[in-house]
Amino acid sequence: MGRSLKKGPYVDEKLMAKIKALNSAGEKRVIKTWARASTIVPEMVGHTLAVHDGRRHVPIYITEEMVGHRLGEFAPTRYFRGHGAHTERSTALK
Amino acid sequence: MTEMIAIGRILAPHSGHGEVKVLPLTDFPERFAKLTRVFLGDNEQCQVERTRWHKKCVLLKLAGCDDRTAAEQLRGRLLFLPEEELVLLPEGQYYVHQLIGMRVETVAGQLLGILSDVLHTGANDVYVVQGAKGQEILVPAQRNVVERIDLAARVMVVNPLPGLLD
Repeated sequence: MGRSLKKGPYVDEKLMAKIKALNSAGEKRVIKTWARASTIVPEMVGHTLAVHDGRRHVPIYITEEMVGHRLGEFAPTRYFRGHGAHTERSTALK
Repeated sequence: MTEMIAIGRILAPHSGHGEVKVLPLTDFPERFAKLTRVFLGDNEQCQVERTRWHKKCVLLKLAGCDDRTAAEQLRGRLLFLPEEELVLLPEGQYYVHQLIGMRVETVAGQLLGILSDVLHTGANDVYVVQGAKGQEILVPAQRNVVERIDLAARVMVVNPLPGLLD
């Protein structure tokens, strides 16, 4: 069941205050957050947020396509550790 | 000696005709359609008779594997190809195994550590750097952070954003 429209999306207040401060100062810095449930809003686009995965803070660059999703969706709490051999998996700079 | 790269893992036999179900371990699963031979180890070369897709897996018929009993022997084995046969990547894209073990430095020349892992997060990839004191530093795979990757010199130069190393 979805969240009531009357309430609007849940956005962590402390995080939002930090984002607004950076936006008004025109600054870019990594913000650590534990607010995995916080919804990504357009004000966050272009910032790098270090989202806690239960053990460490995973730096995530926020893009337009991520708006409406929750921060926790981009910081998995568990990773598949592979097959013990080099594989044909690649990584790209964004 | 040529390094062998795993492209798939045999999960289980499929059907009674010696086919095996393979989980692709590659970003280019379309390569299975053109596959003519694979290696089951460093030297154990095997001809591929036919391939077809089944859900998210590939069904592979290897020469000499003609019944379910023979296919059962292959359960859990990895399928390899020599490194020269890897798909060429565009600029700015790298194979994970090429980056692991690389030295990571800042633009000021400060050594951060050794790249030990790459996390695929759903947003940008994240490079895990193991520092000299055992601490983990997570570096986002962003063009404005990663200045240069020198595969020959095995060095990655990063320009950390304020707050990244705190």
